[in-house]
Amino acid sequence: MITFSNVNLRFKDLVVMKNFCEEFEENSINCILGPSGCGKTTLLNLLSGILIEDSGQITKPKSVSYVFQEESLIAQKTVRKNLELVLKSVYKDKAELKIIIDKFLRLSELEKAADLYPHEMSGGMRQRLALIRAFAYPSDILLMDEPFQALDITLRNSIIKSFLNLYEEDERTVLFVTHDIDEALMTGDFIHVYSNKPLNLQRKFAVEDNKHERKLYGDSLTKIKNEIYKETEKW
Amino acid sequence: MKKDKNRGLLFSLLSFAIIIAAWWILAETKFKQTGVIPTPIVTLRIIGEEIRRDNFFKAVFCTIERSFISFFISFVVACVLASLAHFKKFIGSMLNPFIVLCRSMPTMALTLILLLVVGSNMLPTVVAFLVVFPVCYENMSAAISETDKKLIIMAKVFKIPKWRQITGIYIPAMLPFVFSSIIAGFGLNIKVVISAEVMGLPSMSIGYLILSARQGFNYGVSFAWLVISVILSLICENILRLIGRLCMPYKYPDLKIIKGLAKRLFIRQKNRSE
Repeated sequence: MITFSNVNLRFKDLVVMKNFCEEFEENSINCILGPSGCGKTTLLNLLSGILIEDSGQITKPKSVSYVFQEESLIAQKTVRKNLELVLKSVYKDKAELKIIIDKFLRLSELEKAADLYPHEMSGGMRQRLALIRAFAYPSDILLMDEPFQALDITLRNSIIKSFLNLYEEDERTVLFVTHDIDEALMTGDFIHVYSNKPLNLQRKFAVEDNKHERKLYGDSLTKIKNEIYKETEKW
Repeated sequence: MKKDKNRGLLFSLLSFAIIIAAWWILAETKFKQTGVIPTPIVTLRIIGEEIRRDNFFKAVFCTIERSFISFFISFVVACVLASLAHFKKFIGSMLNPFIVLCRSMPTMALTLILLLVVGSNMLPTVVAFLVVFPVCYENMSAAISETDKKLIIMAKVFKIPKWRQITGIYIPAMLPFVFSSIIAGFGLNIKVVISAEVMGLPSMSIGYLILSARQGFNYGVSFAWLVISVILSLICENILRLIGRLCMPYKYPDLKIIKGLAKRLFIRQKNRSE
C-alpha cells in the first residue's frame, strides 16, 4: 500500500498539501482526477523523488517508472536506443536486454519503428514508446501524468488498449493522473477525485467491471460517471 | 525543399560571381598601377607558381598544424571548464573575470607583448588559444545549459548513471552547438594564427611568406597567400562540417550512406590486416 500520512508541502506562500492523507491500492490502477493546478502532478513528483515533502510521511517505492506529460524522449536516438539508455543499467546482459526490448516493441506494435528517430514518428507512436519505456523498466510503481492528453480520440483509445495489454502482462501499482473522466473509467480500478488546493481526497470510486469489457455507455460506468460529474460541480 | 535548396545554391553562386566581378573591377581600375590587388587570373597564376615552390606545403602544413593544436587545446579546455562550471557554480564565477579579460584584450597588443614572453614559434598557438578559448567556452556553456531539463529529470527518475547521462543525453543534445562552435571557432583560429605569424615570423608559416613577399614589394604574392588562406580555411571548415553531419545522423539521414561505406571499408581493412 502506498500511503501519505499528514504530508505538508508549500511553494513559498502557496500551500499545496496540508496534512494530506491518502492510500493507494497495490497492484491496481489508481486514476487521479482533480481541478487544474490542484497538485496532482505534485503528488506523483513526491512519489518519484523529484520533490521532497516539507513534513509528514510517505511510503516511497524503491523504484519508479514514469510516463511524463511530454514524452521526454531523446531526439537524437532511435526508438531502440531510447529504450536501451533507460534499461542498460537494469539489464546488464546485452542478449537479455535485446530480448526485453524486442518483446516490448512487439507488444506495442512498434517493432517496425525500432530504427526510427522520434521526429520520424507520429505523436501516438512516440507516446506508445514512452509507455513501453516505463513498462519495460522494472519498478514497484508506475506513475502516469496525463500522457494521452495531446492525442485525438481514436489514437487515445488505441493507446489505452496498448496500455491495458501491457498492464495485463505485468501488473503493478499504477497512479494515473488524468483530466478525462472517460479515460479514468476505461482504465481505473479505483478513481480518486480530489478537491482544489490544498489537495484533499473528495471521493473515491471503485470500478469493478472487467477492464477489457468496459463500455462507456454501460449502466455501471454511466452511474459512476454521473457521480463523478456531481463531485466536479463542487470544484 | 529541393527547390529551396537549388534556389539557395543559385543565390550563393550569384553572390560569388559578384565578389569575383568586384575583385576584377578593383584590380583593373583602382589597383592597376600599384598591383596590390592583382586580377583573379593573375592571382591564380601566382598561386600556381607558389605551389611549385619547395616550402609551400611545409608552410601550409605548419600553419594548419599550429591552428589545429591551438584549437584543440582551446576546445578541450573550454569543454572541461564549461562542464565543471555547469555542475559547480563557484568555478563558473571564478572563471568569469578571466573570460572577460581574454575577450576584451586587443589582439594586436596582446600579440606584441606575448612575442617578448613566449617567443616567435609559440606565439601563434598562445595568441590563438587566448582569443578562441573564450568563444569556445561561452558556446559550450550555452550548449550545456540548453540541454532539456525534462530529460535530466527523466534520467534521475529512471536512475540512469551520471556518466551515461553525459554520453546519452548531454553530449547528443550538445552536438549541434558543439559543431557550430567548432566551425566558427576554427575559422577565427586560422585567422588569428596567421596574424600572429605575421608578427612573430616563425620560419615555416604562411604569415612569414605573406610578410616576406610584402617586404620584397611582391604585393601580388601577398595577395595570393591571402586567397590561399581563405581556401584553406574553407576546406577545413567543410571537412569539419561533414564530420559534424556524420555525427548527427538524425539530422542528416542522407549521410548514413557515407557512414555505412566508411564503416564497411574500415571492417574490410581490419579483416585484411588480420
